[in-house]
Amino acid sequence: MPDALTHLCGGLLARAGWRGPMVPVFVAGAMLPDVLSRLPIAALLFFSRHVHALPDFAFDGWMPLHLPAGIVLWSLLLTMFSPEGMRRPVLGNLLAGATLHVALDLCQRHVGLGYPLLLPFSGRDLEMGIFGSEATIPWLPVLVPMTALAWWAGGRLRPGR
Amino acid sequence: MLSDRHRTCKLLALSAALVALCAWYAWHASTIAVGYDRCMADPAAHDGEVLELSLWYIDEVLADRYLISRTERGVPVLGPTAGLAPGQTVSVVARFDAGARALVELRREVHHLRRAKYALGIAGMLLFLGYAAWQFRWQAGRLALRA
Repeated sequence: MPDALTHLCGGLLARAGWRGPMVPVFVAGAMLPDVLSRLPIAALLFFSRHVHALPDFAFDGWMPLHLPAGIVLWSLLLTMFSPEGMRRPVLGNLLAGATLHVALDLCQRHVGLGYPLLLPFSGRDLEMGIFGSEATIPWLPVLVPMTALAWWAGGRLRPGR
Repeated sequence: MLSDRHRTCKLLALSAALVALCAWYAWHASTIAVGYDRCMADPAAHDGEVLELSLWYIDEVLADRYLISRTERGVPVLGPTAGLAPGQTVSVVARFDAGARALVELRREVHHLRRAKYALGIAGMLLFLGYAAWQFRWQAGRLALRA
């Protein structure tokens, strides 16, 4: 995955010129695949390395939350916690944000498994291999100010929205 | 489908489906993944098997090998060690050598920016959590956007 800051900037950039009440939901969709899957894995890896070794399944089980089948399920689940009249736009924005997240991740290349997008129907993995898994980091000093500028400019172009 | 009708049933069904998907994948991954421990359980059967180890940590560097850990600990990899140091993150493609009871490195990538990525990842997550706390509120059992 690109780092979380890149995903956050990506979500905000994508909606900089297209504001509205659902922007936070879109940004949540762009961040939640990592929050729900990578964050627990990182915490468990830390525990496993420094406290007590854990079996493989403790790590593997989180992976579907980062793949389309899991994303659809947790998006539906979260949507059911929103007010009834807002569920369609909430679901649409969660899924759109998560799609942006997955699209960014698919641009990477890793040693080993890529992303088995069609799970549980197929285990075939996919990555486009355009950049390495840390390649976005040197660009953050450009990306963060660019996001802030785009967000500021987007607000000025569309006052009151 | 998105209405409040049978909402509790829908929440339970979605939660059950999510748990089932994750449990199935954990089982599925355990059946397809070949790791060093599995190779060592039957070395002759796995001799020459190629393993792809993505984002493992270097524990120790010796003259002719280095030891790496992630879900398994202290996996020995035979290969050049110049420039390697404990604490670095590497991805390795390696062949299991039953005679040496170790992996023989075929390809290696050192992730020099991995620590920076973790730090930025934490910063991004914290920013997001702050943003979410600012934008959403919990009200009468529902997650609502702040006006």
